Amino acid sequence: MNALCFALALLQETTPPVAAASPPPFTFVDEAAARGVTWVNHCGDPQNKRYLLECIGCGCALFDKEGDGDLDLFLVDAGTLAPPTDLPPGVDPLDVDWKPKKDGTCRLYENDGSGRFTDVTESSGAGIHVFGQGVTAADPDGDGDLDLYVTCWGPNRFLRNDGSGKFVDATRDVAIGDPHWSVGAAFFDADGDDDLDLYVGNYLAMAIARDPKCWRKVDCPFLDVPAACGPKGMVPEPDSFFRNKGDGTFRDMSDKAGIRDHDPRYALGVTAFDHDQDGDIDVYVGNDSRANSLWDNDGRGRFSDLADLAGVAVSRDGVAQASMGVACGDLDSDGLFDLAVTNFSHDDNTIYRNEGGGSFVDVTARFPFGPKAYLSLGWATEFVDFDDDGDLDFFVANGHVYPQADVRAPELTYRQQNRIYQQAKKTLLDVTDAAGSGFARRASFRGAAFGDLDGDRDVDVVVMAMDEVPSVLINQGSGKDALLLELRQPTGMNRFAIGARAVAQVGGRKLARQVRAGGSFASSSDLRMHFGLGGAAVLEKLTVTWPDGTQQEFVDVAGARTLRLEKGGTLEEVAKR
Amino acid sequence: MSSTWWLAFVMLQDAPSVPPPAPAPATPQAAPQAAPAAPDNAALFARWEAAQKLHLAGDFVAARAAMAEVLAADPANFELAKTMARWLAEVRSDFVGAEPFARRACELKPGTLDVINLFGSSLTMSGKVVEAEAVFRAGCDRFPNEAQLWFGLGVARGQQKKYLEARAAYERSLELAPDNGLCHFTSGENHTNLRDYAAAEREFANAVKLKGHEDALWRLGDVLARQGKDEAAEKVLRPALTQGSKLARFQAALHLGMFLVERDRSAEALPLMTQATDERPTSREAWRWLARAQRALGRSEAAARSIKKSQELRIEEDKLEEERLLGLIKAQLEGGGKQGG
Repeated sequence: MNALCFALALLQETTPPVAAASPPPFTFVDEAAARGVTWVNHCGDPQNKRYLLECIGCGCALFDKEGDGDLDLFLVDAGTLAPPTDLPPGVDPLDVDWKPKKDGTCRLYENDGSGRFTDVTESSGAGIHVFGQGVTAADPDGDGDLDLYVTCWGPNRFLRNDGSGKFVDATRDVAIGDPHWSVGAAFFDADGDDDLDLYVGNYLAMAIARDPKCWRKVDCPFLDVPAACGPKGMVPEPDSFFRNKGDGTFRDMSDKAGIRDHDPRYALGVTAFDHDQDGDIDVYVGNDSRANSLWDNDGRGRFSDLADLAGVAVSRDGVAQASMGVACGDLDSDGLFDLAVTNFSHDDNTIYRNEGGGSFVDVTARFPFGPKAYLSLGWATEFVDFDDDGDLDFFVANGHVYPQADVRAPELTYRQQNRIYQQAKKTLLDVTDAAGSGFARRASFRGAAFGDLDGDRDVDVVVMAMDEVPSVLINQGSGKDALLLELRQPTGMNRFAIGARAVAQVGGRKLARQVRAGGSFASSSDLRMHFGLGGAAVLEKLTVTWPDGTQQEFVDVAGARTLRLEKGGTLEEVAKR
Repeated sequence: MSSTWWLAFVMLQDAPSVPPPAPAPATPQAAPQAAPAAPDNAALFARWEAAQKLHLAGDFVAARAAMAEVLAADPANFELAKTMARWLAEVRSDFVGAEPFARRACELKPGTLDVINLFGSSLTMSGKVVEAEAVFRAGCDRFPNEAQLWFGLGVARGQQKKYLEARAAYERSLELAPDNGLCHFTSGENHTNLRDYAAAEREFANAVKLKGHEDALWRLGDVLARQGKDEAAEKVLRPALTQGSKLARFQAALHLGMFLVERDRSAEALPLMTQATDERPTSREAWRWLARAQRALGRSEAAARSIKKSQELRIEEDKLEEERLLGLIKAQLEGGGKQGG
């Protein structure tokens, strides 16, 4: 038996028998081309990624750009790097500072309501030329439409929406053009003043050529294979916190907010949630090769890192993992938001169960993830109820950072399968191989956003693929067992109720969801809350806790609809357009 | 594997055609070992003895160089090369020093089982795991029924994080020698690396039964705890507190403490973690779990102090790792950079 056959045989042995024995009730088809998404992402040299800058990749956003009730799609692009064109004779291009060519263009696709997309980049003004990384959709200026915050290598950009889906670059006006290499970002009300503040996760100082550790001439070993250097050995950049002044413009409060009290840590994934049920929103940051951070909010926008004490800084073994993406959701339906962090290959994607009182336990080993997950390199992730049965399933986008990983094929490859885990009987089963053709594709996947693209109320996924066309994974479920809840605050600066919670009581179970702007990996998902009803026709009770803590309760809510609730108002069904 | 020097040592002990090695000398004054197949030339033999003395005195570089000179005087002497390699590896645990002599012996008689094992082990222990894998692989092809070679192959693969392939090698080794407790233990570690905890549990249980390794008991308790088999885990971790070396007992205390903190039994964990930090104040994990126990018991200030200590230790480790990486990069730059565009 040759080596390839041998390794393939080994991999075949690891297929969980459960996946083969019981096909899941959900399948996905990658319908990118059929739905009009044909654009190819660019992130450095597709074949030869010599700088870490070319390896991190991009995120995407699913958001309703013009308020017509469907989700539009924003895809971040990075472009390529090149040496200066005016090199003096005799100077080796490898010895000089390479720059982004600005040949990448972020793309905006408009949804026609059925999940078919048209590229409206040119007419929308959203086609900025940046070395982009991530995006977060939110309404920090409180004008009732969703703007875009694009994180970049170099100053970040704020694209202001005029309400019709046309954008202008208003970065200077709002003063959140963080100059660092930023990746993840989250908007939330940090200080309880009803406007949206901003946390930005910053990665490292990639001062090409000025920093010998980043020189194109240097390789760093990865499993004895030469590869791009970093992040270890490079200078981590500090995260940033911007406080909304109440008018949609910001003040940089990074130094005063406490987030620079500890050493910077190569931040990538960012999500904002209330980890200790004290009513304010905290921030969890997945850091690459350093301990993760859990910024506990004192309610006034002053933070202290409790990750170590809370048990979410490192793995159970005490290993500071190379964290990429973060997921947040009530995995065990106990009303508390649990966490997941995706990590490098030869490592777990870690699941932290929220025990209450601000304490978490690493329960990763309780789930039969097995070698396939362990050998994959995870990026975007989210807890989502894909099969509408009420409990949350788990998605992980995979792909290696180094094309050189292929020397270890098939055990380790650059292009990898995304993985999907179905929750059943209190565990997460790997059902990837039975989840349809959408999960058969291999690419070096990165960011992903989640939401109902085709108006059938089940959750679809858009996944960015390095230097390739994104996957548009259409959930083949019917959505007949799902309720979507759209929250609005008619006045004030937080119109989309970022940070609001809702608990649906269905069939005796309590399903907790939260409105979050930013998460996964460098991406932004549907702001509507999704509740799988598991066959129940009625929600026994629906409790909404608005960002200011006020609550509204509804009983005997008929399910399987899309509902809209304005604060203080009544539940109204949203007619399908 | 956290510490592997013992592994090759035991592998050599178990190799079928190698006689049991003499115990390692406790002091530099220990007598040099006579070379059974030393060259006839008395002067050469005296130089061999002198080289051994240098090694025993701690001057490894000079000793290795002196031994190389001895072998250079009689380069076709298989027994001499093998004896030097064995003495360095088995008696002195100097695998880096042993490797060139084992290599020479292998070149002189490539099909010799014990020399293949010696050479492969020396390579593994010297960090040359890619070549070690090739040596063991070739050895397994030549001697497909030699359990130790398959074991060595598993270790060399595991060191390269080729855990799936290592698993296959361990399985073959255990088919041939099912009573090798150390192989069961190492196989258990490999299954843990692959996150196959049920298989790891079986292997660690075998290792405990066969007294394969002193860490087997607490490792078994740990994989039981990870799987949520609480009662069984506690039953194993408690006796592990009093078994094995000081380090093994420390690990048992740490892991039992972790188990208890995770199950909201911090009051029981506290004395264990306190003892653990007393015994090993440089263990950041002991401080971290002590802090978590203190926090759960409402001792916020003590928890803050403990976590600070843990974080300081982690920062120190990060700095050391960074220095190591920067050293590698600097070496590349000084060497003219990598080749190619």
